[in-house]
Amino acid sequence: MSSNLEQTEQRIKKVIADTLKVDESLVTKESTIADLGGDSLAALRILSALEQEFDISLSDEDARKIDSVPIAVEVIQSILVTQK
Amino acid sequence: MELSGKVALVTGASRGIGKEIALLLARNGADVAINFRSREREAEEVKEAAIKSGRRAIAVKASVSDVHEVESMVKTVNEELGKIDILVNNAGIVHDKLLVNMSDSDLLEVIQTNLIGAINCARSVIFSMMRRKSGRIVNIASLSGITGFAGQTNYSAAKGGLIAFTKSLAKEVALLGIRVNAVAPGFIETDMLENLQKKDEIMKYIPLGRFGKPEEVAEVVLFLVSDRSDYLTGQVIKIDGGLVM
Repeated sequence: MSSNLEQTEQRIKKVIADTLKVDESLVTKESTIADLGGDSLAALRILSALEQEFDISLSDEDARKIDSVPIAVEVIQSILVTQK
Repeated sequence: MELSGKVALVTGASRGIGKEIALLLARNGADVAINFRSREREAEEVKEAAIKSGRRAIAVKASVSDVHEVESMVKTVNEELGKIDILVNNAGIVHDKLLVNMSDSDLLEVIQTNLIGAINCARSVIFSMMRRKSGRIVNIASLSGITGFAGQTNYSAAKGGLIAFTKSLAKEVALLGIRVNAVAPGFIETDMLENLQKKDEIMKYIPLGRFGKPEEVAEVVLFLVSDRSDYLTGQVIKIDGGLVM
């Protein structure tokens, strides 16, 4: 895993932990939002928080996919790479 | 104007009630997507009329009962007009039969179009509305879904289901700034009434003494999608000349 990817994952995990108010150690690289006790409203808050954190705008299509850490990493990393 | 900058999708808008809704929303400032299933020429005419009122408009083909066609319709509207602010689930069909004579297709087509079709469309736009914390959905139900009519077990089951769907969805998304309401037209002068028997007899029971016009349904829909009804959600408004009180 490149350091960039690792960094992205760390930031995503922190955003999710902060938004759901759970300890960061509970958020693993495999966690789903549902596993962490988040409902669809929490998922919407996570999306806004991620957009803010990475200064990106997620399309509805991308946003709809994001229900876990790995998918968030995949979607956001690909946006960041395209932006470069 | 009241709906300036808003994008509205009206299903089944090539004729009847849907057409009048699309035109009235356009006259009040909305850009409109006119959905049709088979009547392309009529839908194009509605589109041209909407454009004449100074708005952007497109005609978009899709059978609402097909989830893939619905997804691609919503995508087209998003690309050509922008994100959908207003959804009017109007597409509907009837196959009136007594239950004893009802075929599988009479039953399934009516449920698929009138009930599942509306749910398909709502499901395709709801996520985007949730993210924007704003949206208006109006479902065109029917008096049949409230009181029942002999010969319409399929249709009234679908419309009754649509009313229940309206209420559940209204509760789900209320705090996200999305309002969901239904109207229940009674006897409205459209092609759907063409085969209606005993018109004179029915008329006797309508306090206002006449059938309604599609434009009169459209006016109530306009109210429901405008900010003037901001404290209304999960409601079913009967438009029936007082037939059922």
